[in-house]
Amino acid sequence: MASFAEATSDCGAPSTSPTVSTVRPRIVRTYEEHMKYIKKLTPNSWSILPGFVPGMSVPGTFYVNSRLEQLMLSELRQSCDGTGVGGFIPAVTQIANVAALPGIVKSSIAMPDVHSGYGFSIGNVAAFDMNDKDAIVSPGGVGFDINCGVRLLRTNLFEGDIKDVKEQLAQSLFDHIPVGVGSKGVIPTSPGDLDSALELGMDWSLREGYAWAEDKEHVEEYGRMLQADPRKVSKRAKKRGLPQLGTLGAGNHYCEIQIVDEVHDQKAANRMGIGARGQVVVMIHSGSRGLGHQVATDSLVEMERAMARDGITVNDRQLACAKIHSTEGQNYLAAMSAAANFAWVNRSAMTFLARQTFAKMFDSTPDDLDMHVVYDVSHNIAKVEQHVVDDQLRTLLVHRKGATRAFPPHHPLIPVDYQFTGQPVLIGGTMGTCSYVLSGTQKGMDTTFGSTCHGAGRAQSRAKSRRQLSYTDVLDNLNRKGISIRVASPKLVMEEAPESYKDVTEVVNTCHDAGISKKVVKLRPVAVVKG
Amino acid sequence: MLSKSSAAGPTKPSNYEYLPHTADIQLHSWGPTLNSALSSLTISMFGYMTDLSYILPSSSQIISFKSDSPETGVFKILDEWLVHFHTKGFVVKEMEVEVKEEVGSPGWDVKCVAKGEEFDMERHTQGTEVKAITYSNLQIHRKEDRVDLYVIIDI
Repeated sequence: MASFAEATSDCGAPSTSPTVSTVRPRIVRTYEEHMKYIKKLTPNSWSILPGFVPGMSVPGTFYVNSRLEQLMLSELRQSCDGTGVGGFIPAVTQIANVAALPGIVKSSIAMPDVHSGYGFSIGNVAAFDMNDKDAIVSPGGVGFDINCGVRLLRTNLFEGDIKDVKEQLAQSLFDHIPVGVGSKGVIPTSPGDLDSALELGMDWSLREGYAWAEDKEHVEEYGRMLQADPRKVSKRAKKRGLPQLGTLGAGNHYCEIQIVDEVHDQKAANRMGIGARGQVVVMIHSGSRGLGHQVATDSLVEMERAMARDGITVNDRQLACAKIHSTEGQNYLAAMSAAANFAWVNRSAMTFLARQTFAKMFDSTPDDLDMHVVYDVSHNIAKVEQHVVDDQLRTLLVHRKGATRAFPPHHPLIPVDYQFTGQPVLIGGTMGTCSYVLSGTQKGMDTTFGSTCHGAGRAQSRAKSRRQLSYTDVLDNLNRKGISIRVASPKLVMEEAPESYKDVTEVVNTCHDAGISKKVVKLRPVAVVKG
Repeated sequence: MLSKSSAAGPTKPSNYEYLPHTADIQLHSWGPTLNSALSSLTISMFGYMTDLSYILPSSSQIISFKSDSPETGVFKILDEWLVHFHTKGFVVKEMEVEVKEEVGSPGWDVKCVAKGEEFDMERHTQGTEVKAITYSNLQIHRKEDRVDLYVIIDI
């Protein structure tokens, strides 16, 4: 069997660059040898023992059930069978690489929707001690799409109310919300406006009349990160962001009209105003667009220099990081926060457009349609939070990359409306499958830094999806399920087809069974608008 | 493998392919020289964003920069053009690139001249949006008669 080192060998690799002498060499092992470091702890969780990769100061943990674990382990096996050219690093190795970063606390944790990313895997949660002077912040732990997240709007409409106008409603949403490659925002913004938006987040949306005062209450951080500093965002990032404010994007981003299909926790669902089966809701999944992507790219370059200077050693070049309290670390956090604000303004702009669409269609007002924000979660972000670790309250910088904050009942940072239910957690499914609303639990707070999954998570590569599925089949399938679809790039819908993803229900059930979040409501899509 | 003709159109033989990666796409390009491989790599990225057969080579844009390593050089060519796309809407259909390798240092001095046009939703098709270029497993394989490049892009 080919060795692991061959599969991910350094042929012509990043390590030849003079600036990255801080990357550790990889360990050569077979799959069987690797498995000696990976232990099943419970039916839903596994541990990766220190020693799996060099420099691990804490173990890795990943949550998968028996079906999802096969995907995880087959990825590791494949990486051992590789030819040494191309290829990518399996998620298990990535989780372990994060456990080797300076200042990490407790464990590098991955959610059931985990899959290989760059640097950090998607679905990875990692917390770093703010009081450890060597602890780091890593843009790779946040991802390129800073503050990518999901927002849910409720309505007082029922499935029967939209049955006859569903196609028009989908078309109207598609006409209102700019989607896809090269689309431009409809909200007029000058460079001065952009700076205000970056600094004020949803306070800007409120001031400009795009948001309701009560919207903020149901958004993480009240839609504004106070550390945001627009001056730390490069000109280039601003240039990318300016035309894109109020655009949905492409890829896995979407706006869906959904129906409350199953209610698992009636009390919590009632509290969220989505307790009636058949009720119509709107889900928006989007992020900080080109602005956030560029902030991440810019910071990687800056951090490489800092790593060389401060002698930080990592296992993978894409884990570029800087000490939290260094200039680079602080600059990144200020720019990341500004990008996060941009994302909230962006989702607020699309909320505005969705409200307008419904109001016109039903000849009513968004207010009379009860189109309140149920909640808005961020699943690519780093935040300063307090957690109890080893019976001590500690201030940590928690990175969540493709993972959602899920705080328990009575936590001071969740809105008063949800004090008794726990924080609502919004899980976007895949095109044409279902989505979920969950709630945070104390067990999650104790074991996963108050975090849970974020979506289905890819199971199959985009190239394979393109090869194996035909777009007409995918569209026909949606049609048969009675789902209206409006998509800017129909020929790419295969990539986002349910077959390309893990089963979101398996993912959500794993989290539910592990006790890190609780199922509240299952949602079923009836119309999809995407890029 | 994705049929290459569908992305690049009948205009030019394309020396690139899209390799499987769970979340993203790995671009693989090749050519007899470094310059030709870099050119194919750039075109492969735009081929994922729109059908290049509808793009006319009606205007041109230039980028030039210095990099301190070959990897940064490859990364920056893609990143610079991506920024051009996101700020000016410029789509690259053809590209000439000149790489001067500095004596005694791994650095590159790069100049690219690209032909293409501004993206127009009325005339052009929408593919997938490219968010960012990554250094993840970025590989440059140089042999005497062939150069292969691998870059994972975030989409």
